[in-house]
Amino acid sequence: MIRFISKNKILTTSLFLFLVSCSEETVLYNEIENKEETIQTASLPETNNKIFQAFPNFGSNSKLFFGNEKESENLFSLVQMTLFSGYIPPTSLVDLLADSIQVDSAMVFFESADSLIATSNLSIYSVLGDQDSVFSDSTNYYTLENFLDFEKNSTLLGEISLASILPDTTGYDTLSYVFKDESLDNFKQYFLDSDTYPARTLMLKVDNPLDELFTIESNEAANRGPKLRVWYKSFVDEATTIDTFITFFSQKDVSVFRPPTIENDDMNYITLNSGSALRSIIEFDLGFIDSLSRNELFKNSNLVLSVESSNLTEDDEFYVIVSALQDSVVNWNFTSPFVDLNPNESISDTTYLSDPNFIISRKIEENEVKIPIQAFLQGYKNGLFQYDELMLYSAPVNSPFDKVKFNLNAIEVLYVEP
Amino acid sequence: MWSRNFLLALFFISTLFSQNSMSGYGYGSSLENTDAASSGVSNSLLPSFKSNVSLSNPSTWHNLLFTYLNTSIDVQNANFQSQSSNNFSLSTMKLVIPWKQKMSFGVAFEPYLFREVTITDSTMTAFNFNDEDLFYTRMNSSSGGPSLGQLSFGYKLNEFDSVGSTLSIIFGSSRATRTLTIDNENHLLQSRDYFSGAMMDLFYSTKRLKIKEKPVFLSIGLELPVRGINVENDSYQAFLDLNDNNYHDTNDFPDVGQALLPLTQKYDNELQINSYTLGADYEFSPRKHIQVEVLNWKDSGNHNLNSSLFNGYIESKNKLSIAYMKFAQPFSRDRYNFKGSFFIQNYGVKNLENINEVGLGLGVGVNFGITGNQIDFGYKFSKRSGLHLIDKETLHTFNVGVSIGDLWFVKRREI
Repeated sequence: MIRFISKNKILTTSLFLFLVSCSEETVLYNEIENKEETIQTASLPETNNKIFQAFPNFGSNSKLFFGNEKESENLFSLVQMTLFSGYIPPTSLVDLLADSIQVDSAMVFFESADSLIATSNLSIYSVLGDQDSVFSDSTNYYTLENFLDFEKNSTLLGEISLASILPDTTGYDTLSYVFKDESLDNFKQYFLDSDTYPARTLMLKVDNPLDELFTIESNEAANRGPKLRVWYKSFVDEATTIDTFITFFSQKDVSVFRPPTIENDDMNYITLNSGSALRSIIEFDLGFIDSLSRNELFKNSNLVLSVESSNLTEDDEFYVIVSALQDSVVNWNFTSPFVDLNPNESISDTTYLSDPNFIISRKIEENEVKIPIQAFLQGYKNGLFQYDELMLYSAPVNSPFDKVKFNLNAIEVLYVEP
Repeated sequence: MWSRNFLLALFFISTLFSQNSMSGYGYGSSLENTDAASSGVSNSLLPSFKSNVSLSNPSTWHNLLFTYLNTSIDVQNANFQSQSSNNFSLSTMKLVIPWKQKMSFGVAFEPYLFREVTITDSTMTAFNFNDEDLFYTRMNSSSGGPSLGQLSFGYKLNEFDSVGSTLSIIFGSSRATRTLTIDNENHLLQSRDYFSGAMMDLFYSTKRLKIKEKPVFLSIGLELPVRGINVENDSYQAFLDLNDNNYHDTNDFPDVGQALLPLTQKYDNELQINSYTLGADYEFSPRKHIQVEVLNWKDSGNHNLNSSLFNGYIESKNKLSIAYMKFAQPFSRDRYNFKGSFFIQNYGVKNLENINEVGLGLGVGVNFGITGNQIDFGYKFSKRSGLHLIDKETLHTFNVGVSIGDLWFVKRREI
C-alpha cells in the first residue's frame, strides 16, 4: 500500500511534522542559588539643604483675588483691555470718541463663582499710565517698585457693593460697573481716550479690608474673563444713524498681593509657599550608587515629608512637586531675587531650573507626603542626572496663600538585581 | 515543489530547539544521532540507513543509488523528580547526492546546541522593608542556541577504502532572561549570545579487514575546529516590565530611552571541540550486523563568558555503544530494517559533578517505492545521574525520519 503514497503527500507530511516541532514546553528546575544579593537596601543621608525664594509668577492664574487670606493680603488687581473690539471692522477705544459717534453708556463686567456678603465696595480705577504696557504677568508685591505707583496714578471710575454676591443657576454672578451721564464722561476721558492714556488698564481694589477671600474670573478663565461693552450711536449721514454696541475683552491681568512674611523659623524646615515662591533644595549623598552594578534597579524609594505646621484647612489640598536640577547649588544660604546679592554671589544662586526628566508631584495625605524618587535615583545611576540634589516646591494648582513646613524623614531606598 | 519545501524548512530550522537539564550546562546540550535512522543503533559512523550507508558518515554516501532528502524530528520526554516535560524539535534536514557511485555531496542544516531550560525558585521569599513584606520569586531561563550549516563531500578511493569530510558553519543565537518577580512585578535582565565558528569533520572507512572471509567495516571520524566558536554577548540593562510584554519599551522602568546601551562583549574560542570516533561493523549473518562504536570528545574552549544557568560546562565525553542491525533485503518483500542498541556515556563536567548516562535504543525503518524511500522510527531510553540540582533524569526520545529518494544526474529518456 505504501508504494501508492505519492512523494508530494510524504513531503507534505514531513513539512507538517516540521511545523509541529515548533511547539515547546518549559522545564522548571527548582532552587536558584545566590539568594542574598537579590534585594538590598540603603540609607540616603541628607548632606545639605537650603530654603530660597524664587521669582513669584501668577500671571496664568484663572482667578483674580481680593481680601485677606492666611496671612496674605490682596492689594489690588490689574486688568488690561484690548485696544480694538472683537468685531469687524475693528474699532479701537479712541474711535468711540469721534464726532460721528455718540456713546450712550458703557459697562465693565466681571464674573464670580464665589458667594459673598460684605460691607466693602469693590472700586474700579483707570490707571493713567503713559505707556502701552504698565504691568506684566510677573508683576507682584516684590516688584512693585519696578513699575509706576498704580494707586497714585489712577483715577476712580466707579464702585459696586459686595453686599450680595450670589451665583445664579449657571454658577456665576455678574459684577457690573455701568457708566452713564457724569460717570460716562469720566470713563470716556480717562479710559476710552487711549491716545492720552494708552495703558487701557483697570485697577480693581476693595476699599475696606475683606476678612475672607473673594475671587473673580480672570483672563485665563475661558469666556468668563473681564469684558467692556459700549453702547453708542453712529451717524453715517443725516438720514442714517446706527444704534449698536461693541465689546472689548481683557488682554492680560494679574493680582498683586502681599504674601506671608518669610521668617527665620522657615529656614529650619522644608518650607513651601507659592505666594512668596518659597522653595527648598535637599542634597543627598548618592556616592553608594557608583558602586552598584549596572543592573541594579531602584524600587520603593520614597522621599517622606511629615507636616510640621501649615495654614491648610481641613478641605485644602496641597501638592508638593519634586524635581531634579539642571545645575548644582553653589550657595547653600538663603537666597532671594529681592534681596541684594552679596559680592560673592551670582544671579545663578537665586535661579534653579528643574530638569524636565524628573518632575513628580504628590498630595499631602494624613499629614504626610510620600514622593517616589526611584526614577531620579535610577536616572542618576544611568547618568541622566548629574547632581544629587532635589528641589521641592508648591504645585501651581495649590492656593498661592497656602504655606506648609515639612520635616524630612530618613530615606530608606530599596534596590534589586534580577 | 522540492525547492519550495526545502526553503520553508530552512526558514523554520533556526527556531526549533529541544531541551533537557543538560541545556543548563555551558552553552547547552547537543543532540546525538540527529537522523532517525541512526537513533536506533546509537552510533553515527556505522551503517544504519541502508546497507553500507550511514547518513552521518559522508564516506559511505557513494554507496547510495539515489539522491535522498532526509528530514528528522524528535520528540523528547524528560522526567526528573516529580516533574516531566515534552518537547518537539527538528533534529536534522539533509540532502545527500551520490554521483556515479564514486563520490557524493551533501548539504545539511541542524541545531547544534540547545539552551532551552528554566530554573525557578520553588517557594516565595519574603523581604521586610519599611514594615512591609515584599514577596519575591526568581526565574532564570535560556532559550535558543546555535545551529549548523554543513557541506559534505565523500569519495570512494578504491574497492576497499573511502574518505569523507564535512565543513560545518556555526551560526545563530541564544537568549537568556533572569526574572525577579516582586509582588507580581517582573524585573527582567536579558542578554543574547551570538555564535560564529567553523568545524571540520574528516572520515575514513575501510573494508580491508576480514573475519571468516567476511569484511569488517571500520570507520574513523575526526572532528577538528577550523575556527573556534566565538560568542558575542549583548547584555541589556535590567528593567521593570510594567506592561508585562517581556520587551523593554517606553512604558517600562526605566524608560528604554533612559536605559544604558547594551553592553557588547566578544569572547573568542569559547568552544573548541576535538573528538574522534571509532566504529566497527560486522555482518555475522546475511543482512545481520553487530556494531561497536567508541567516541571521545573534548572541549578545550575558554568558557570565559559563563552565561549558562549552571556554573559548569561539559569539558569531555566518552561513549561506548553496541548495536544489532538487521537490514531489509533490497528489491524484495522484506522492507524492514530493525535496530537495537545499548550505550553507556560519561560526561566530564567542569566545576560540577560528572554525569553518567546509560541507555537503550530501538529502531525500525520501512522501505517503500522504487527509489528506496524510507521512513525511520527510533526510540531511545536513557537514564542520567549526577545532574546539577536534580541528580537523576530519565529521557525518552522518539525520532521520526522521512527520506525521499530521487534519481539525479541521470539523463532521462525523452518521450
